[in-house]
Amino acid sequence: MKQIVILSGKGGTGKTFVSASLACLAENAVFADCDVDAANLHLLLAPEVKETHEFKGGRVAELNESACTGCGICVEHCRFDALSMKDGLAVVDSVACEGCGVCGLVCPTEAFSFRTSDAGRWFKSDTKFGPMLHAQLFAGEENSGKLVQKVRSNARSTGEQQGRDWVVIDGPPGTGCAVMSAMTGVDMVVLVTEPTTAGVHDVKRVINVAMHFGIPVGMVINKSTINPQVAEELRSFAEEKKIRYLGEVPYDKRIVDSVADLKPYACSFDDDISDRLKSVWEKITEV
Amino acid sequence: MTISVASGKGGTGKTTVAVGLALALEQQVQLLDCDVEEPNSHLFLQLEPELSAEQDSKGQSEAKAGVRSSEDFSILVPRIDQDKCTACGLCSAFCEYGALARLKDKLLVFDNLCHGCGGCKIVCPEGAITEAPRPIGKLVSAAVPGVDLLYGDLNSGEVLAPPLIRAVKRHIGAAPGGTEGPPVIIDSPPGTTCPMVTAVKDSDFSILVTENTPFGLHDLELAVEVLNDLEMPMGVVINRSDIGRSDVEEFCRKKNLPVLMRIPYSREIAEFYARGESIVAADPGIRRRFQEMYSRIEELVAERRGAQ
Repeated sequence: MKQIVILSGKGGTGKTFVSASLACLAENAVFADCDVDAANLHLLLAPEVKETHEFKGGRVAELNESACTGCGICVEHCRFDALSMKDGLAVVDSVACEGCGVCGLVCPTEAFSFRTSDAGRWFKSDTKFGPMLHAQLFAGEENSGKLVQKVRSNARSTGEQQGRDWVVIDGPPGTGCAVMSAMTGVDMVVLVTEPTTAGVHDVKRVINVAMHFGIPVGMVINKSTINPQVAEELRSFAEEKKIRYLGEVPYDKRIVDSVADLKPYACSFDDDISDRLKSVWEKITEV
Repeated sequence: MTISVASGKGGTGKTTVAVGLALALEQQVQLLDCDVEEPNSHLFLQLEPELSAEQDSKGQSEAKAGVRSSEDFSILVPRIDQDKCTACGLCSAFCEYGALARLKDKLLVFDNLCHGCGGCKIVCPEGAITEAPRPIGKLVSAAVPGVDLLYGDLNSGEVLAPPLIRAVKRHIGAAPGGTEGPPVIIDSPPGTTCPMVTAVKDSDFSILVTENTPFGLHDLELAVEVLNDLEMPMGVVINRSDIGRSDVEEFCRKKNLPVLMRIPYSREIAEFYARGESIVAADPGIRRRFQEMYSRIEELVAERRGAQ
């Protein structure tokens, strides 16, 4: 079973548009939406949820107000600006709190306890293209990397149990903790980039991370016709860095419309764009 | 006044709006790019080209670029004096992040797992732990006429975005005498989780940028939920407003959210963006529309302050 993850660095380059097409083209695959902050793949693949599971996040400090003497020692020691004094009592900012436990350590009256937050849900679903694992992290929660791991490990075990050939992962934007969780141990990173100043800037950051882990990288240029000069720069950059060039898709309103109509492109239309997407998938299978 | 520009979904035009607004206003503004995993605002301000890491390490960046200065942002990580350490294991037992491990009679530190809380130093009974700074990113400042830019740039592979975002926000300037400083515009990271909340928190107003697609609507709904929890006044900018159906408009009507601006789907705007130019340069009419949007936000904030 091979695992591929689709990443972009910058948001809005067409990552999910490409992921949905690869998902519908991949035979005998299981899908994982690892963009757990703003999951969208389910909108295109229309999963029927079979199982819902709770996700517990990191620890957060809680204050027992009756024990707090307002001495302020905890505020002095918190390195995450998660504590402040209000009306003679300590106040915890649960978004800023990293759950390190230092406040509990220094508090002379043991006024702090720690709870694990109910941070999200993850789902096991069926789509007409195959099983899908996806999740939603609740607003303001952290530890998205841990939830990504959860989705991925369940996608892998589902794939193994059912004898699937592929795990196709729609990754999160950025280059942080969630991205690293999404790419660890995959067979290939498929980058969906666009020939824009910001797109190039961001994709280079992801390439650095992928290469640091020694993962093979392939590149798809979306909206390739929006700036032919930058598109050319991307192609030569790919060649120089020994990145496998998987193809390109033009800047075309048909694509935006297909997303507005919630259709996975490659399996909903038969035209030049779907041919290009099919050729991208073929090249991935050759690797 | 501090206005944060956010969006649930990435790539909806957050940076386009943040930079456009900053450039359109006639007074001096502070632009803080808090999207520290992918800071992009500076790409649209026509700054001097970035220097390579090699040049940077020679300390030539300030002299050469003229408008740019850069400082390391570090967290404090433990260093163990092996002569004093008795390998009692209290520090590794305390550490929530697995950054300290006891191996027989020795303590090992894994810098990349450390969040820099300082707890190990406090629990150590032998005074064997000191702390040393470890850079996890950079704070970069630059200026063009009318705009002072400050952005955080998290090193690839680092996970501690919120502390760097807070460090960027600590630079929000107050004018002398406690009066309100220049307008501050914050370019927030995408999403609805911890980094986004850290970036938008304590603003006077949030602009949510979305696009008129089911993805845009889905992620807008999540972002509105977060801002409601923060009791943040907000308005919506609809990008690519003329594609798809009118679901986003309908959602805004239902939730009583003011639509502050509509930007049509346009190849010309996309080409400007691709070249790294602000849409304010693309169309002088847009400058005026940004100014009108700012006035409208001022009114909305004043109304709310009056109501409280």
